[in-house]
Amino acid sequence: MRVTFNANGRPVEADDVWEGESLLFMLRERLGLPGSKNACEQGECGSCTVYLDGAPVCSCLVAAGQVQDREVRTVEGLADDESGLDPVQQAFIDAGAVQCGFCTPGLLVQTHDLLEREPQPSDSDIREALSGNLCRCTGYEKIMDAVRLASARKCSDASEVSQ
Amino acid sequence: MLPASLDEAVTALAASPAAVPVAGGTDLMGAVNAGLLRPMALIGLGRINELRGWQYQDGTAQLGAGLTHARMGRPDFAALMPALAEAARSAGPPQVRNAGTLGGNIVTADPAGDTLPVLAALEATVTLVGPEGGREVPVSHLLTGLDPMRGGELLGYVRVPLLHAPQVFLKATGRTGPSRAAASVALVLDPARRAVRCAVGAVAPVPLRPLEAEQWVSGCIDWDGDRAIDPAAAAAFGEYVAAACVPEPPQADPEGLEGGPAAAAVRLRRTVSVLARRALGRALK
Amino acid sequence: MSARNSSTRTIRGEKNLQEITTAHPDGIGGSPLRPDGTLKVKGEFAYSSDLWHEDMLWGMALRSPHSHAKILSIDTTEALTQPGVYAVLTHEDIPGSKYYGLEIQDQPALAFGKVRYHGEAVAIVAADHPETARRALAKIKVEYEVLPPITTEEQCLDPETHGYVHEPHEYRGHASGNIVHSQKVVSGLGVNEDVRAMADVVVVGEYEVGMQDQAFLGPESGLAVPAEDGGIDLYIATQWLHVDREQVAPVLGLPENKVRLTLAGVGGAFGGREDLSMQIHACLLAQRTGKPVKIVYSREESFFGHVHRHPAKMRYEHGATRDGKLVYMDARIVLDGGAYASASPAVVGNASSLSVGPYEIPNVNVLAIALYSNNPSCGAMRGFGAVQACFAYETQLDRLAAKLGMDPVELRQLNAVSQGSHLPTGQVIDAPAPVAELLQKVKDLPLPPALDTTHLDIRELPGALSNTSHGEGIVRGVGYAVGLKNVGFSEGFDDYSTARVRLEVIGGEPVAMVHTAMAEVGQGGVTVHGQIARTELGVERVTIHPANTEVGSAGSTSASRQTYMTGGAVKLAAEAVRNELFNLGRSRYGWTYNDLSLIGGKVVSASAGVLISMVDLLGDQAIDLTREHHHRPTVPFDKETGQGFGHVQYTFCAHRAVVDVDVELGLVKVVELAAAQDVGKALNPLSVIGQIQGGSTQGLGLAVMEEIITRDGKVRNPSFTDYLIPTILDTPPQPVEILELADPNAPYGLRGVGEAPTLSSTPAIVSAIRAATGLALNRVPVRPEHITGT
Repeated sequence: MRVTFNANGRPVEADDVWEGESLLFMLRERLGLPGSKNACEQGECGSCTVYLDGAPVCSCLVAAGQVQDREVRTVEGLADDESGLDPVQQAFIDAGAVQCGFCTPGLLVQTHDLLEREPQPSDSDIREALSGNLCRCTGYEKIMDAVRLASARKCSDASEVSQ
Repeated sequence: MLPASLDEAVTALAASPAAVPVAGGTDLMGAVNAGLLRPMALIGLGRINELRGWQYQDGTAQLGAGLTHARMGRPDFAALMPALAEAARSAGPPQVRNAGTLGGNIVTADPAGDTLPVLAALEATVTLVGPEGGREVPVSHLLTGLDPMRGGELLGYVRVPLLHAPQVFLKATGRTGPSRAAASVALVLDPARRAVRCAVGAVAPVPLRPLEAEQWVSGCIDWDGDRAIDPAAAAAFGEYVAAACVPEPPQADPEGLEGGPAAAAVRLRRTVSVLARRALGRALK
Repeated sequence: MSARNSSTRTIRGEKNLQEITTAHPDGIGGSPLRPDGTLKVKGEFAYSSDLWHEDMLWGMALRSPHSHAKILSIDTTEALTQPGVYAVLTHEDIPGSKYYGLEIQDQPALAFGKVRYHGEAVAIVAADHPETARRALAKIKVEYEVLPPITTEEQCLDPETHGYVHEPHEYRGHASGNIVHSQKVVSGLGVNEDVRAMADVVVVGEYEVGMQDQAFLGPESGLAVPAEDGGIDLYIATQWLHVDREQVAPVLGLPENKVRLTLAGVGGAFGGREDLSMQIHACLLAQRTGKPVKIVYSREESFFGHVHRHPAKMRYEHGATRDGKLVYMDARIVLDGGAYASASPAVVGNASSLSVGPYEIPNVNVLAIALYSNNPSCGAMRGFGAVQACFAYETQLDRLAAKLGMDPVELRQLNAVSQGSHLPTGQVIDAPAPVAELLQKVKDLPLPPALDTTHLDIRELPGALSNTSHGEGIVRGVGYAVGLKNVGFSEGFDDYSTARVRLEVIGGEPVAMVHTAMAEVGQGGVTVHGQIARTELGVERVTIHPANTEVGSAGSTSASRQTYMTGGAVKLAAEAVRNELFNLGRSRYGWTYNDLSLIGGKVVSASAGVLISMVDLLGDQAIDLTREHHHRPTVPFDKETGQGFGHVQYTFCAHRAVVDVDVELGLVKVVELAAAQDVGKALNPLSVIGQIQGGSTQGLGLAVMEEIITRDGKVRNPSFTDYLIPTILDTPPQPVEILELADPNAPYGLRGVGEAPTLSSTPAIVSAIRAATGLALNRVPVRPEHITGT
């Protein structure tokens, strides 16, 4: 089958897609968007998290055909312009939250969503929001730091704008 | 295939009976990725707006089968159906709850499906829609196979009574982060009928109702007063529920078999007993 | 940051397979950002599973459903006729050697005659789509005669009755019976009745450690591309490129120079990538089809595709005087190595030589063995050998303290090793060993506040959103532990690393390029290499060359060794480049200064000030030098006594764990996990802390949840649904205290960091659970039923 949808603001299409193929496979292997990762393909690890119509989901558990005409945003589409980084991406680098980095794309999308919904999350809010994103390298402490840092920077940017 | 209405979906299914309906996809794609399922065609239900919301109807809530777990976990939903909200909020990682649906939880009927014991305790009913129209079936009849889905039918709605009284869902797991229930308990108070209803999940293929234990404990509660209960009675209720829902352990395990069926049954009884006691304690607090 | 084109082969322009250049003022001791960080957060860093090549095929393996069986026949005819299938190979198609192995070549590249573990690869397929390959696998007919599996210690040690995992005539190395390797350590008077009589108090315990999985997130994967010269280019996630090549080339029947490896992005390793997984299979399929072949394991296959942490059964006996001085220790450590040897000999070496922990014990008798069995193969995982022993000896120390009525931290401090102490191998600790101080540091940290039952946030309680507890049944406990780990490869192995450093002027600026074969697996070696080059060469811009086999071996990214060894090689090469640069100045300008250094892009004499800029001195000349770094030599342990200068360096970490236990349901929530570690010199403090927190968290997993469950050798839980690892809700705040006491033998005085925190985290947590519950808890992971008693 053919699937057409919007990926990171651009219309895309994939041909000869098998019915059982996942959105993750289609992104990675057919559309040249390998940023979303394939660590478990059972929805347990969150490495493949993408926005689907604005809600973060595990792209491994979305059938390719389900995204027909819908909007997908992956880690490759988080930064607003080509050169820059989203504050969440910058905070993950600055805080040392990236080691092997395999969990990072999923964590970035999930954190981005959290801070959109709740700009100043409590530690428990952060832990709840990121509880579906496994990381094996960091022990999560630097990830907590990164989310707090991104939150602080976004809030201070926002207050500068409002002043 | 991406039908835009329930009727269109029923028509599509009639036209290609081998097609697999898919809503959130979280269970289906897990099975496909594990190599357990090779769908030849899918009917996507995600476009059917009428199934994605909920509304009041004569003292009940009519829930669309396409309601996501994330939606059910929100405060407005929790205020009316707290146990269902608690189950939805514990049913896996946030990303999965954003996609997985109530209808999918029921149709997949995984023994550890978190909403199932709540629906059983609430005595919810489901509306099945097929080429000949709709019919209402108690959720327990559907899950136990007493009244299974027929060919060409889709799950449209779930009807849940609004009891306006405390309800609790809790589960035992292997870690603090999201994980599969080893056992779960849903307990609801129905003050109008002076009844406690309880269901135990994940210990059997379908949620189990300990009817005698419910009846007994309903009689121990001062319904007109502060609804307090003697802690000893709460503990006894826990034991009663566990004995009713977990088969009696065999005498002993075969020699040398660590963690055999006898030990597992003793363990499960203990877990269910604690969960049921805590559930009751919280509902009556 | 810029990505400069280079001669390096890339597949579709993957940026981490090209050079990465970053500019930063920080040398060692600072925490500059990772050079690969920007690529990683943008999703542009190409992991081995992300690689793609035009015309590429997908490879997949058929695996044994049995843990022990004879292979009577394999019929691939039907699979081969499937449309889209390009090759189906069995052991008969292997052009070269049929065996490979890390230390002992005992593992068939594809099974023949027999399968010895559940999941052993029997045949491989190349097809145009993973689904086509999956369907083709289903068409391969393998006829097995199932044999009774040899899985328990009793069965393994009685081959007359239960048979052999490998026939004795097939043995390589020191194997005998079903024992892969054994090592004794005897010191002082050993342990006999006279020695026992010197002790006032004796504790004896039997301990078990379950089989842990590395559970790195990036699945085993890689891309093999056939080359025009008949060789193979393999892009791969591994821990050691050169040892992969050493094992792959003979199986392909190729000389090593025709098998070229380039490191692709590695999604974590933790020991699980020391052994080969899909490397040989992808190369064989590429060789046969003449097309690029990619293999990516699923998570389930990953559980079968790599070795695990050795499960251990240990008997420990400690004797002490009434005032708490240790008199003797007797230990027997039995490690289940599974079907193939992997790193078992080294694991035995560590388990035996580090079995006493960081304590002075005058009389010691230890035996450690690893078994061959039909269980999954076990090998390297973070802290191997030492992790298992640490759980046992630290539990013993707690029990001894209880029996003596002493504070468990004080008992440890009383017996702690320090610089100058003799270990039971006879080796003297010739660098700082601040064991007592590390314990004091974690003890002195303020305790987290008590559980606040009036403002409950269920997300802080055991079970969290499962609503399991609202405070019901919760008891708090505190526990301590400390461990002893070696750094680097031991027992006489010449564990060298190679680095190439090139200095030249690019765009009007001096730029240092660092080229090694070091596997960056996430630890941050590439960051540290840049820092070392900046410190030694006084430059800001550093280019990291992709790791490949064009340069000499960097050894393995394991044993906490890479900063020490390859970092040391980068230091040597940079120093050589610096000297060459000075010589250039001396010959050109007749300098006679002996006080030269490179600072801020300039050659500076301490006495005469700035002499010249590096840009002017270099002109268009490049200085390009390669150096090897060898650590001081070690010797093998004596087979009977374990005596010998066997280890390069020792490292120490202490933990304090605070837990809340739901005593009715047996669920544990670690509330805080504090660590103190001596790192010699923190080359990059941010990365050092990240290593300690990450290692501690893997220890947390082993303490309370992680275990591969087998029955009759069959794996029951090969998924992240059933093999649970800690989520962010399971993991607590982790304060870290760093000590920097220089080791005079190591580059910059540094100490390997990665493994030590994984040792003591587990026993500290279990000690805290014991404190909360009063239970014995002699096995990890502690499961709910161990706490509830049912």
